[in-house]
Amino acid sequence: MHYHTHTMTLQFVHNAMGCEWDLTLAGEDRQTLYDVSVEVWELIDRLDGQLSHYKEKSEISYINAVAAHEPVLVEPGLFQLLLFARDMWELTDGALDITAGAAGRKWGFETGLLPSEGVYGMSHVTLDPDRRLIAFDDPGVRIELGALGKGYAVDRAIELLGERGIKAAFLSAGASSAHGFGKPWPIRIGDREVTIDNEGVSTSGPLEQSIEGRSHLIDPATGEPSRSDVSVTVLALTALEAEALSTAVALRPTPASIPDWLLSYMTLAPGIRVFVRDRSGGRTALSSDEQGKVTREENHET
Amino acid sequence: MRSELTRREFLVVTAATAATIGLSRLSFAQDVAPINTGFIGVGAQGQELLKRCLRIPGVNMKAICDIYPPHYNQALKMCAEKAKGYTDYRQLLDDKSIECVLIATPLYMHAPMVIDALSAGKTVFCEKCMGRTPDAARKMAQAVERTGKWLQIGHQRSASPIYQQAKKMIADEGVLGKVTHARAWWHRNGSWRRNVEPKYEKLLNWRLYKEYSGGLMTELGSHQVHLVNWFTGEVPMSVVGYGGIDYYKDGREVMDNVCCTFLYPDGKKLYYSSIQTNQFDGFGEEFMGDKGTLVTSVEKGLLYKEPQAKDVAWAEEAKKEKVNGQEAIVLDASETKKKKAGEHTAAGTLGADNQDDYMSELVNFFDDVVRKNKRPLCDHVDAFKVAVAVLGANKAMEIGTKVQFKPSDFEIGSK
Repeated sequence: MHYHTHTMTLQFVHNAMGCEWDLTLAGEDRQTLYDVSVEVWELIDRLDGQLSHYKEKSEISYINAVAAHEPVLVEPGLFQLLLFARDMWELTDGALDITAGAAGRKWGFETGLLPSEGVYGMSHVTLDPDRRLIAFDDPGVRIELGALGKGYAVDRAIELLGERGIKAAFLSAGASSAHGFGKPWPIRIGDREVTIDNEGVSTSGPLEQSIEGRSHLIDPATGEPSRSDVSVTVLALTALEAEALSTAVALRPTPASIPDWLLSYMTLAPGIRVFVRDRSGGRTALSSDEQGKVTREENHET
Repeated sequence: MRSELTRREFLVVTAATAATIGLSRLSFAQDVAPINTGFIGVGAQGQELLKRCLRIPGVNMKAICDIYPPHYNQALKMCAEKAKGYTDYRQLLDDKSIECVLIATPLYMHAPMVIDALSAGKTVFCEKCMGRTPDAARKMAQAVERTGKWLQIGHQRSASPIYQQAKKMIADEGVLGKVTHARAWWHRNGSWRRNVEPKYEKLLNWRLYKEYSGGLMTELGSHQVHLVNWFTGEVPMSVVGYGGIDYYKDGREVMDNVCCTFLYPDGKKLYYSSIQTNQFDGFGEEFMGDKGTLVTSVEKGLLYKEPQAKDVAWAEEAKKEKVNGQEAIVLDASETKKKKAGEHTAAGTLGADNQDDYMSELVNFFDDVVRKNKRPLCDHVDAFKVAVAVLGANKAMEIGTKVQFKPSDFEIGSK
């Protein structure tokens, strides 16, 4: 593949969604790259304003306040994201659950009021795709998109960069989600380096973030912090897909035995790479080719 | 959505269960009468409004119109292809079943489109500023009076609970005492320019060209001049100012920084600035009275008492915050929400409490203006006065002298 050689590469930083965003743009003209970066940050801020459960005027906060009382009509883009979250909840055997965050509050990952502690689970959420309606069957249910919101925002921004004619860029949301296109962008995973090009990447797990040794991931099965002890990096079609998979795998991994649902998923969805590292340096790498054939490799960090 | 949608469709088919749990619950409510709606101009701002329209029960987005192919396609995609696409807005207006239209096109197109839409019998929402020239805005206002159809202009702060509260405190309760001065600012760091194909330069970078745009005063300043007019119930008597194209020497024709002073009756002054080279101050307003100061923004208001003034009656129970060593009473959306606790929104309607200002103004438009034929929160009369004031400021800065307003400048006049 031929890559265009760019005369300049500029880096931009922005704070949104509780983390630092980094944008690297390659191109020919400084002012153009600067102007596009401003547009990207405006887009991220608008999405933050729509998706954040911390912001009381966000669409998510509106849904959380009202959906148990009456069905709420949802903006089409967000509705697609919610459908995706529901599908992934099923496909991951419930490991990915956007209602589980509320259970995490009592563990000190957030402060604030807990509506009615312990009510969570996507089974409390009804989505009507024909009418774009969402309803909760309990007032305690709350949606917190967390990492999925970041993945979704990264993908929307990458779309915008394409529309603005940017030929090569890398965008990351904290240590969580990223996407790069237009050239091979190196990513460090433990002691190995891989490159991504037109792919989303996400890393999850307590090796990345923990409070007093407890994972920030809440296991929907128990409502308690995951006892997981691994870091999971997923490279997938989009940042959103990578986020969903890495979050779900990091929650309940058994390093020796990758969850069955992941193998099924990879068979159906080609071009995915998964890297699992544990504290002792053990690592597993999985990848699916275009035919959906999954290759597995085990070794130890040196 | 790029490719995950395709993959999602693929995965849905292979998913174990269809998860159609309790869909019957959704059959109640939402059964409000549909409003057939058209949307003209679905660029960045149009899409922000369109996204919100698609959340309002009963809004049937029947048609969209845009001449820029990517925006046209994005908007149709947002409407899940259910809307009909037009590139000629007059054809959209010819659809008799369309009851109301929203217009978010470049400023110079507002007048012809709004006048045509009103004449076609539609109720109209149009983005701010009202018109490119005082004459264009006046003709729009006259069309409202002639057709008897409402025109709402998108000065969305009129629908904000924070600004409504601020207006009540300043104008009705006199919390600030005699207000003598106001300061408003909108400071950004960015050129406004978009990286576009040369053939679309003027279409997409219209804000930079005088024929199409009034620059910072119409795009940003109009919101804040609207607040001062609204809170005081007055219009300015004159304006002086400086501005220029002093930083972005990129072929633009509108000023990249403006700084002006409006004189209101009784010696009241509004100091206004909008710049594009430093965003430290962000945006906001400050109302100065002999008993106190109110600093407002879309997020919250902060009320500071003057040392010799008495506490307001409700000061004790109010939420307070220390800002630069001074105690301030905080007005935010949660404060207004507390007062309304227990009053849950009726089925099928959206309350203002959990909404952003765009959403609130659109709910006002559909629920009150279109459905109930009520006067909009920001109508043609108020918006016309704002347009006259900010366009007068542009003139003052361009010719470098004071612009004096006559009372007749703010009158809509005969049809």
